[in-house]
Amino acid sequence: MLSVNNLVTSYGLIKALKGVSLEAKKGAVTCILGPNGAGKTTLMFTLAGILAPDTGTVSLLDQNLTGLGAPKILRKGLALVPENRLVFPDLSVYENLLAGAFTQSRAMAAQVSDDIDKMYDRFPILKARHDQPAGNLSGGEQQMLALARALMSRPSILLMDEPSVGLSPLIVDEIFAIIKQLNEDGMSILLVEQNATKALQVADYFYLLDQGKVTFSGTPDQLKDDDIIKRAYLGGG
Amino acid sequence: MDMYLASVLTNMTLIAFLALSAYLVLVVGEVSFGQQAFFGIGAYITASATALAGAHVFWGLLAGAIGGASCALVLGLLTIRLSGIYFAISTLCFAELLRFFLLHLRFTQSVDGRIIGPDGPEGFSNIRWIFENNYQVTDFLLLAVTCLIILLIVLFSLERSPIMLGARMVGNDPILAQSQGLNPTRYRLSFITLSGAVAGFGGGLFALFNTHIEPAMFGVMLGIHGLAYAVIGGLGSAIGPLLGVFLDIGLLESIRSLAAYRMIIFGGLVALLLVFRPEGIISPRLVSHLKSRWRNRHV
Amino acid sequence: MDMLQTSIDGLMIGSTYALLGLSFALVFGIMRRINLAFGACLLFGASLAIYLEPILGWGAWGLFFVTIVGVALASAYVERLCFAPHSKRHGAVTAMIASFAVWMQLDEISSQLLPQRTHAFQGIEVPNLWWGEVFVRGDQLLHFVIALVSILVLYLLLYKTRLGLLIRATADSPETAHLLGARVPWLGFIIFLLAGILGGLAAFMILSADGYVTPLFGLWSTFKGLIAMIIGGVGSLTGAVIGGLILGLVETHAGAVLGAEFRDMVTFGLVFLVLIIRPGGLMGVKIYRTDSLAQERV
Repeated sequence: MLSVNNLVTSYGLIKALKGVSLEAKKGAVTCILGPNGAGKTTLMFTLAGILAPDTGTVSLLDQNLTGLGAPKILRKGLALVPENRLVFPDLSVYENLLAGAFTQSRAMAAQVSDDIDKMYDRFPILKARHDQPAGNLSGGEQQMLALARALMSRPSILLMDEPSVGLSPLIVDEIFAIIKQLNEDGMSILLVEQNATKALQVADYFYLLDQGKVTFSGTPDQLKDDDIIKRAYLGGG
Repeated sequence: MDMYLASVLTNMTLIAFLALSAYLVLVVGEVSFGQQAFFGIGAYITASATALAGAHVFWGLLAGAIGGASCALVLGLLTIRLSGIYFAISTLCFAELLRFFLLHLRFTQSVDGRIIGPDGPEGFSNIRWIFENNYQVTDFLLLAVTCLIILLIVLFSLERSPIMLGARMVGNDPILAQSQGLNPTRYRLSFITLSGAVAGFGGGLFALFNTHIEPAMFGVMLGIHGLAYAVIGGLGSAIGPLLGVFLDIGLLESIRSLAAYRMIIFGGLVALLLVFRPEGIISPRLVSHLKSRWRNRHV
Repeated sequence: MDMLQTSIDGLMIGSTYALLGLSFALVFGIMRRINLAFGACLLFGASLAIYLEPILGWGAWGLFFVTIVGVALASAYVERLCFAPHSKRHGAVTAMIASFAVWMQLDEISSQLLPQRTHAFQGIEVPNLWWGEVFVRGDQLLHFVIALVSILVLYLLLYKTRLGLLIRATADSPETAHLLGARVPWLGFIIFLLAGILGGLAAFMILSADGYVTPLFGLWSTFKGLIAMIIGGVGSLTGAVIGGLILGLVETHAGAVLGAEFRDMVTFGLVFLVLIIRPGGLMGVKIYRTDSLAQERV
């Protein structure tokens, strides 16, 4: 579905991605594991069109996305939930959701308010806090809002950059339950995570990114069998 | 109406244009120390168009707004890579360079025995439109308020459109806005240009009302005042900057009896106000809270 | 020969600009805040010193001490009222506007202390020097030395003492410093006091070299400090010192070649060009590239 071929991206003089190739299948949860500085966020930003790649191609459902700007990529069905910068703090929950539907020509139309109602059904906490500034929400609530906002653009694939970062274990469980639920409802998801234990519960396929390169790819079983990875990411031997 | 009151109110209305132009830049997340230059350019253009070229006041004001907008667009393009403190300081430098240009602009003509036109540091005297058309202070106040109301209507319809939501997204977090499919650069450029137009138009009115303008009037202190009014009033709505102007000039005028000490009291009051309402009186959070609450109650 | 003379004059003036720039760089580098009332604090200190001078009768040294103490006090007051309440990440613009309000307040107090437009400001008497054709004013040479010594002291304080380490750690990552129990209480207060002392020194040196003070001194010194900091690279202390020296050189040379009228404009034009071509300033490019600062709001 989403296929990335030999992607190279530089940050100033530093090559952050040195030829990354991967494939996210339709209806699956694909997970990218990697330590800090491996280039995970750069990869996400490049896929979403915030950074432009030097070389390489990205395509989604046979449409070429390479070098398109963020608005076009979003319209073609790829939505990103960025790490850390989750919500627009000054805007209310409702306006944040509205912001998610921004590139649609149907912005502000009746359909959008249907979608917002659907999000309220899926995330009741957001409904309860619809008129609160998003900056006043707790970390977990902000993560849910960011997820809901990404879904507002009706993507065919959802990219999530470290959804568990900075959240308490209980909230992380909740977020991953939501990811699983979304996937069961048919959403394709590309997930970047450092929490490998959690990722194992939801992911169908793994890639390991290190220093801008893919160093491993395989199913969860293959991942669990790899000694080095087990030691580095799953703790213990 | 009392002449004195009318002229205070007119000044407040004119400064409101400057405060609104600072507000438009603040909405997209930048701080400008340079709006006074667009105000000044607008003043000079409107003055030249009406007093030198004999144009109708409508065209004069329009030309002032376009002049302000063009200068702002140039600044926006030159500073396209800058943000934060870098942007703020570059606006300050740009404004001072424009003022320097005005300081050296000499183009005087003798019309009916009067010297008219920009004359370097001496400024531009004899902008006689207000006398020629027999405008009293109250008449001019009416004109200025009408213009301000039209501007507010425009800004409010902008506020209800997705454009303003997009601008606030960019102002909140440009990268996140980009991941939502916006082009932050385009928003920034358009809002900076629009701010130049608003300031230029206000400057045009200022020139007509004052009948004399000089480069020294458009120093950085003027711009910082406009900026301060916008921040004190709050960035939640275009009403905020107006409230800021009203509070500041209104209160200052009303404690005029304290003469020498009023700035001491007043500066302290403003700083204290900001302790209790750090995002201004009408803060963005307050407005989006109220808006969303209102909307959902009426759906 | 004129070239050399102008350059020496420029360095002498530049050393005081370096102190002004250093005050701004301290506050911005460590707290990410801009204090618009900085110049007003300097004006207040100088006004207080002139006002108290006939009462105390301590002469030039009295002016020296009262100016520094006055500026440091005003600076501390600004920190408490305008910056301490807005220490959160998004409080930068609010703090800046609050400091603007206090600028107006300090300006008014200063003009109450000094009702006339110009007041004489006595300097410390030092004999002038001639080296062949080159002339150096004794007091300016003394100021140059004072500036160098105070920069050295600041450097030692920040890089060679425990307090300096704590300050730098807190500036780098307040959360981590807090976790380690290394958070400096009253950090902002200490920084503003330091900036105030440096600013007071600069105020005394500039005013005594000029021989008088006017109400415009406040705005003028805010401008010079900001510009020295920007030229050198925002937040870099070494950069601010070099920026101040460059500013002094550029001003005197531009003044000598184009006339005094163009002097300030050459500076503004230069700063504008530096910003749009090389936004990080001369020293701060690396800091600018790390995107956290590039995206930082004022």
